[in-house]
Amino acid sequence: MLPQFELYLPKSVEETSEILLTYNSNARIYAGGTDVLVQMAKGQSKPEALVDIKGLAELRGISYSAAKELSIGALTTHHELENSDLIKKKYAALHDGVSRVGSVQTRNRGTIGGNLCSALPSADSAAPLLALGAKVIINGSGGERELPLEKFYLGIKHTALEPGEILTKIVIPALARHNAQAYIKFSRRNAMDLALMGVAICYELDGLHVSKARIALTTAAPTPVRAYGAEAFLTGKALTEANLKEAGVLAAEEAKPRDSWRSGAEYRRGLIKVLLPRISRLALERMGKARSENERD
Amino acid sequence: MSQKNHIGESVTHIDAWDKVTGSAVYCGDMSFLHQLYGAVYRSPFSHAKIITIDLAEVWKTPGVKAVVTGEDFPRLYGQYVVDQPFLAFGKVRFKGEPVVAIAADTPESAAEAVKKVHAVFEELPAVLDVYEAVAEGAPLVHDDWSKYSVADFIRPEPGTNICDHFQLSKGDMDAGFREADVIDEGEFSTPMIQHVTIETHCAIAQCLNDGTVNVWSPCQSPFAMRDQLAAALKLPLRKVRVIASSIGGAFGGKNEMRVEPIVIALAMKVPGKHVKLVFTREEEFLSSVVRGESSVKVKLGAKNDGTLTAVKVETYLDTGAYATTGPRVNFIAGFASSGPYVVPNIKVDGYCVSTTRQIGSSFRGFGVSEIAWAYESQMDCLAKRLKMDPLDLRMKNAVEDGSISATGERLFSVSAKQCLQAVADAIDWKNRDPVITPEGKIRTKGIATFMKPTGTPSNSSAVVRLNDDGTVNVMIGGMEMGQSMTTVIAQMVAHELGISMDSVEMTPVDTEYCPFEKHSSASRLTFHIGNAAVRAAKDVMEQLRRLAAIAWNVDPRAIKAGRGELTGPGGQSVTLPELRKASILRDQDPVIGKGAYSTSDIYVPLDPVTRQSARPMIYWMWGAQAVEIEVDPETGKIQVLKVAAAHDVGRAINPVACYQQIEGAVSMGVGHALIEEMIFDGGDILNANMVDYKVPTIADIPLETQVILIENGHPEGPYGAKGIGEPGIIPTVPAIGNALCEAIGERIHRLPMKPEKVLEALKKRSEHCHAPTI
Amino acid sequence: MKEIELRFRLNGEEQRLTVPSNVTLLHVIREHFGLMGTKEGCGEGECGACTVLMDGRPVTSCIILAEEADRHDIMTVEGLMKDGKLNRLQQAFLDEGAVQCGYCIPGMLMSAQGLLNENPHPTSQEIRKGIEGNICRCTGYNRIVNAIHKASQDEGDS
Repeated sequence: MLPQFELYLPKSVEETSEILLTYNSNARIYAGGTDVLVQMAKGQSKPEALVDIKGLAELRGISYSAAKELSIGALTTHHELENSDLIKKKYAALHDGVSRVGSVQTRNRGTIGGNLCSALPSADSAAPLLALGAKVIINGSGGERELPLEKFYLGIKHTALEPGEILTKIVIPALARHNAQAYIKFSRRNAMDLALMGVAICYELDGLHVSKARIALTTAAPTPVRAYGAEAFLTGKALTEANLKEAGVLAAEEAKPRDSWRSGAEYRRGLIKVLLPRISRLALERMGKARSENERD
Repeated sequence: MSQKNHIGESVTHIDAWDKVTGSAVYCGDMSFLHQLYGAVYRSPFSHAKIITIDLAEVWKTPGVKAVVTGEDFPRLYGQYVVDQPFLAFGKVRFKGEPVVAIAADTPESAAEAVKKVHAVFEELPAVLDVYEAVAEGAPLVHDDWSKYSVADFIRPEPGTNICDHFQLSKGDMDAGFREADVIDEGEFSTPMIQHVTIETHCAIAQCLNDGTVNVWSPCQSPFAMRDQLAAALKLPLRKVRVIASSIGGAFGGKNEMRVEPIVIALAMKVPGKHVKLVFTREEEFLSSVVRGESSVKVKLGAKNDGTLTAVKVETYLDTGAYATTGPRVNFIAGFASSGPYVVPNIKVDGYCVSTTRQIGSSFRGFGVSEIAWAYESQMDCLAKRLKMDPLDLRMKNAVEDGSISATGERLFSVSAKQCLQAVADAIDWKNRDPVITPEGKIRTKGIATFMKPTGTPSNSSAVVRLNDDGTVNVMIGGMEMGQSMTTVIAQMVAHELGISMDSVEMTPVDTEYCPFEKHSSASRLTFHIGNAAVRAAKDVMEQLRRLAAIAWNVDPRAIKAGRGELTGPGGQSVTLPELRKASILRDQDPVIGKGAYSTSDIYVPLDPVTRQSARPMIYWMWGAQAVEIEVDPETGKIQVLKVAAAHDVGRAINPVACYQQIEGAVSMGVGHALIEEMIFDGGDILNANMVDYKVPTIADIPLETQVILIENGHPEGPYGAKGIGEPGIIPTVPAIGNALCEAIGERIHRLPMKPEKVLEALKKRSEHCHAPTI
Repeated sequence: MKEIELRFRLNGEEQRLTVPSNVTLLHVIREHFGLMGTKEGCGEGECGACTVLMDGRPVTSCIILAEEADRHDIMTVEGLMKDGKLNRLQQAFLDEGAVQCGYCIPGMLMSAQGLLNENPHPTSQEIRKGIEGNICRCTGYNRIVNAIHKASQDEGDS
């Protein structure tokens, strides 16, 4: 049985913000509920109030601006993203991530905003968004502000949201025309499991060389993180087997995975070494396929 | 007229319609007017003395109607060892043990009241490992075995945590090893695992002032529960009524009383009221039952040509805080521990060990699963030493009709070799060299077999009540739990009476009016209830013959009685569907066919020391499985690609039901092999939920399971049938282990074979390979 | 704590009721409407036994607040039969031997129905993905996949 709480169904961001401020830190935003209710049922979270924001229409939907920026409303469900052709075609890494979140049922309810705001190291949408260079748009009584996703994460279950603020949108900046991207989730069980390790990559390419590399990891640190060293190493280089292997080693070195009963830190490090080259090859294959399809068109 | 045969037909399961419409009633779906809801305060320690329990605040909680502690209700129960309190008294023996039970008007009040229990404990040293538990000077979980009533097959060792020491010997083991050219030994272990039935444990109890105890429960063995309760409560059997609900999965996990003692203790405080309690998923892990950890040491001796000369086995099974089925698991493990092989010299020592851990009890295939993981792995090790094909080594030693078993029986209706050959063909064993896929994964094959006993002696009964319209109600005491036993029994009755399946109604099990059944376990119901039901149906025909003789005014001996058909000497004839028309039942004695079956007549008691017997078991189950797996050498992850499973079902009364049992067991076995384990920090379970305790999803099971039914009829089985509920789980695990060893050249000795361990083994392997060879 | 007034469709019928804010959709389905086909297996969305359809899509009702059903369309296993006849999925589950203990089956059927609503002719791979959130401990799943496949090929009523 769930503990008692007050329930609010605000109709605007302002109203939401006010309610949150009234309750100080004792209110929780409620969107898909797939994390919040579970924590409450287990007695891990006892908020005085739940603020169901599903009535905030402006937090919904996927749109593509003229500047080729992709904007994703925080309330967009994993299922909506999984079913979006645009995401499937242009943001394959994100598609890989959202389609591996939980189960069909979780993806039907869970939102991308919720996945980020829960701030768990294993969030499957977070690493792809980091690799895609995403920013988050935050709204509150003090108005709107923008943060790179990297800055949004402060620690485990800890984000940069100030009292009264909510995450409203995720924005993915335009990518170079030729880019290779993918996310791989390694888990002990093949469905409905947490990542033991997740690796997302997005390489923007100039000819054969990487003009910009972004590599992100889940479950490799207290928050989803970028592997800057590996990125720097690959920038300007060709994606050869040897380079990818070295990038994997570098990413593994800079990761700070935890030793836990779920898995040993050394094993997780080893996974990074293996998965980074593996997922990079997949991304390149994908890009090749897309190119040849385009040529056919 | 044409008679439907029914035997060998895959008729749709009779309980399936209710299940696809959501109308099947499971215990949690039942409610009674003004019922109370139970909740439990559980031990926060693995092992501790209970000093005081303060309930003052509990009683102040609004809605609380009953509170009970072990002190209030100091009674013990147990199937084989009467050692378990309804609620702990004196001391607690595992973390999660029920200490105080509370009943209230709402589940919320009950849960709230639990938080207000103030109990003081004095911690005692915990015993969290079987080897620690058997070490000299180990703290005792139970002070004195002699204080308990203990079943006669059990040998507790006084002053130790050994709840049962099983011994078996045949021939001269030392001489056998001296004769051997090669001796190979190893130790194999399994972790604590849980059944994870999707329905958690649940029960409702009502106690009346006249001493009547009514219990509603999804229990596997209602009569065994009735008997235990009556003994514990000192009531006549007639006063305890167990009403069984549909069961949402059991696999051995609902063979023991778990919620029932708690709700009964509460219901006794509030006569007339129904008290209901449903375990949460967490409670399921914490305080229902588990398959305890096991460690098995196997030593094999063989001639250079592969002939086995001696087997030595030593097993340690963790039965946890209370014995429950543990000694029986130990017995079965010991009994089956040399596998389906001809071995002249055998010695087995099996120890069922008490610890301050979760209760180790029955789990599908109990005893044999643990032991086969060990001996079938060891057989492959031996094959390697002998440079023999593992299949050839097995074929060379496998028992056949006329072989003498480890327990001294001249075996018959044996199919070990047939099963091995069938799966070898199905998996294309000849082409089993490891293959490296373009993605760099290693594909290999593995094989394993087993022989599994049922339970003997035991007994069953059935009543077939004939209605005037030729339909029947069939009453039995064994439980349907998804194995489609009720369908199979209905098929047999329909067959014997020449009626359609629609004419057979299987009555819900209720100990108040159903005939006795010993246990729904050991894959025994098709065989045992089947025999009883066939007898009951034949009894119906006999009674009808007498009634027809009266109606037709002829000598009963002149009436020919076939399956559902009577023919008189003057051309009179009647079939069951036409019974009403023939009116031979009108105002005559009602027809109630009864059938009873027991195996006490064939059973030859075991020698108490060697456990040899000319006929210890009514039947054995035979089977073999072969797998093809793919190992990712970079991550250590294993994917099972294909499983070929050949099992001797004797006679497939309902082939689809046989397929289902084997397919389901295979997928469960894959879970045990690869992902399932309860993980602890001391006495704390770290993964008491369904995210962290991983049972296979659809994405984890083999892509292909090919089942081959071998029908080697058993002369004493109904239409030749044997049992098939459990066996599919057994060879799955060692077959995967054997395939893994083929892939990586190293053996993993402890389940599950998780990626980390595979990778470690691979590293070890590469270190070996770089080491200089002498 | 506020009580909440709800209006929603349940198995095709308009319903109104008032509930405390902290009850789940599963609780309302079972305790208020007495529809016992929807089961609880874990209480945290990890087994799928409580799956119902919300606006045609499968969701785990044990981790949804009743409040969220307001103005939505909910369907439980009891809503699958039409005019006393099994729907094609239910029939296929019987025909293919996809049912054993039956406890996961209502949730499994709802996930399957949700899949067919969105994708009437799924591939075997899509079926597998469609029921990845429903744990079955008895069957080994393959007969369930076959049943869904069979149902997807039967034209006629949904």
